Amino acid sequence: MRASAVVGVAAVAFGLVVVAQRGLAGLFDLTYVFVTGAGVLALVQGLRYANEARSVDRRAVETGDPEERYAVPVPGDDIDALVSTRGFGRATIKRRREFRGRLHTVAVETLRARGDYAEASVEAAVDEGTWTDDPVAAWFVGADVPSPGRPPAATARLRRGVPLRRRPDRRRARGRPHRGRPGRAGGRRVALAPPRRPRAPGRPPSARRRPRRAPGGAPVSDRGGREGPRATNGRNLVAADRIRAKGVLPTGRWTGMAALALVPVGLGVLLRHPPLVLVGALGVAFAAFARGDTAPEIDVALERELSDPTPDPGDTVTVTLRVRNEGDGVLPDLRVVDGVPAALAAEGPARLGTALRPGRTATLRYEVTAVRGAHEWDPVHVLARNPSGSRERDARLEATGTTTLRCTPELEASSSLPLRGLTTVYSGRVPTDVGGSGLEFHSTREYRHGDPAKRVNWARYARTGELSTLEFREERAATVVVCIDAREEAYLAPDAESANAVERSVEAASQAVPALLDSGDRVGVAAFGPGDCWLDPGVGDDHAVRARELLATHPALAPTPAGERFLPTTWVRRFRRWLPADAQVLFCTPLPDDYAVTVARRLDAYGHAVTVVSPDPTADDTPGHRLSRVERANRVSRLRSAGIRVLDWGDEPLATELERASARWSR
Amino acid sequence: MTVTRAPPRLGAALASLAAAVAAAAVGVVSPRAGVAAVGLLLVAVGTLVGSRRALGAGSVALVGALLLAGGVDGAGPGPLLLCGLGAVLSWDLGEHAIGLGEQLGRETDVRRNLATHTAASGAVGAVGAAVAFGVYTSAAGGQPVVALVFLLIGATALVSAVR
Repeated sequence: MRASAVVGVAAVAFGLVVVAQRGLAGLFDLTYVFVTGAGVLALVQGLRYANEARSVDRRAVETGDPEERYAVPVPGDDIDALVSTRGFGRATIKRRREFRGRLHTVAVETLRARGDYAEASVEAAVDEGTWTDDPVAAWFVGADVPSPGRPPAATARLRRGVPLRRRPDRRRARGRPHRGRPGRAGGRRVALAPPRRPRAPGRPPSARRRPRRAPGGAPVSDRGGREGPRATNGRNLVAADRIRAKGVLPTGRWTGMAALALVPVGLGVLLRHPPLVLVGALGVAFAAFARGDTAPEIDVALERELSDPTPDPGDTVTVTLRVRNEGDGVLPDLRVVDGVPAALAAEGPARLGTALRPGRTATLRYEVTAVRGAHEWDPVHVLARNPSGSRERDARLEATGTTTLRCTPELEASSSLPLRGLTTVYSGRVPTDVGGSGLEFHSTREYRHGDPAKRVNWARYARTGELSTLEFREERAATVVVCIDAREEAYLAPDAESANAVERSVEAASQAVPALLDSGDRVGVAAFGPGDCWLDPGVGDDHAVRARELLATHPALAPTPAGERFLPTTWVRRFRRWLPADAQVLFCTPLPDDYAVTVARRLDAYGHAVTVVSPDPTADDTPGHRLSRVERANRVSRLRSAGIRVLDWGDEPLATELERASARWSR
Repeated sequence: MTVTRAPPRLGAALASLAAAVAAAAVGVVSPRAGVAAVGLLLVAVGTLVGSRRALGAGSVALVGALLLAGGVDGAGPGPLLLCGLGAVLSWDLGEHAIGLGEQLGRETDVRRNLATHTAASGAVGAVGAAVAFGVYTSAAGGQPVVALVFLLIGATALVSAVR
């Protein structure tokens, strides 16, 4: 290549000399045949370049979607994914068989919970298919039901309601049908009838922010030049790394330009039309422009400023990011994408495309809505291109200034939380079954010497002349540990707009803790999830402040999953050792799996009276979502039949649900 | 919010403007303006929806119209240079807008970036065209064949080197 450049320079120089000194032309006696040959050469070479340019891989570094909130899956997305998978691989067939088993279990449990069949005959009814009029459903779930004739119909019908897996992320379902009374619909939909709408719009199974594909089809590294891999707030920024100069990516956008230089020249010579040759000069100019351009150095200073670093939930915070060119050279093409925390939603684009002279500053402004938690900004993704755009450099740089937004909600006491009868020896407000002094009548007994005179049943004394003593329910204080299910499995929401189940669990805890503290109970907090989050039971104002701080900003209770490894069995063992013997447990969990049920029942069995507050994250727009809803309803009824109180928290405010529940619950 | 991954409208407009200039330059001198019109349409559609394939086809169609106008109809150097400049800029500005759309989205403020890029590319093209036109007019007519041959070979070798 070097040699051809030298030859080229020499030839052009000699040609120009001949233009000036015509006498030199006599040195060469070249014929028109030779000229034509050169023209053909240029044309062929140009067409080759044009052909190469057709298949060129144009690449650019991808940017993420920091403006979006972290999207959690809807319960049942995995089922929808399984149902819409085609193919006959061994793994697929195995998973389908497991799914069939799962449907069978659900059918049995639902029928048992409804009480339509005697305990012993449920299994038989499902196996024989007598539980439904639908022959396809009976065959699909049952064991010894004859095939209804068209076996594929069942799968086709299941599939009809399922969104296609390859749907783009961004078209999210808006305006889902209003959710009815959740958890009660368990028995009605057992036949999994196809929905009215032919295909509900929805998200693919795991609707996390996923890297987009490059336009050329090649996945492009999402990793910056300076920052190493970093997992922040559950988002993993690491992607497959490609071999390239550190942080520099050739974009390949000028690849076809050589053809524009050569094709008109060749054609012009062959057709003996000089103006066409001129056009070739234009091609040469642009090709040289693209070639001679080097990648710019990113030398910028970033400073972030928040209009309010400690807002209340729901407040709008204006974020100002100032980008200053600290280098000596112009940055002709600078693109900045701010690393908005995953749990915050930006109101406008958190990006800027600009050009910066040395020493100048560009300003990016956008607004975020504050939600509970301590939110740290991710590094800023900075991309710079040279003037021709032939090379691109990218880096992830930390901004100075404020990088954390702390949003600590006030603890608001809800209506009093009905507790179960496990109490401490101290007096409080939980009515017990022990007779003594108190408010609510408990019983009467014989008068014993020393009983206070005001508790003597004077009416009876007047009637019969016998002394007897009134007993009241003793009111005592309880020790309550509020345990929040913050496993990754619990991060679920019925749609993109709703708060996820962990956020709602924390909200429930934030209402329960002050209510309990107000009534003189000792309250502790623990998170059933990765990251050590324990607050020993205590009372008093200091304790309330500690609880508030913990519930608001502890990373284990963040609105986005931490993505750390978590061993639930070890946790349960530790939790039991830590738990005071007389402590009740208020378990806030969406009941995403059977393990949550196991934990609740085990703690209850160890003598810690358990009350489950369960925010309902299920939806009912696709078969998978409906199946998950039925499964969760079955878990709720399993817990209730085991004697554990369950507050199934649907769409209504927690206080309303509490009111309704405490009317239902007996002591 | 989610940004719309589509080219910013200003960028699309600039690319279409360049393509319109190219089509007009050919259309004035050549009866084969239909090819250029197809190119203009493809460029406009490609930059609106963010398709590099459509944009590339449009720019190639513009160059094709240029070659037809020059080779068949014998158009002069002025219109040909203008058309070539317009065709190259339509690709450059269009591709730039599509890239901006992919990385920053349609809602983001990119005016300064677009203005700088347009100015840089426009300046390169204008200088290149001016130099070529100057050489052409100053040395018009009766050049020795040897000069042409050497220029030709040199250009081919250089382009292969810098490509």
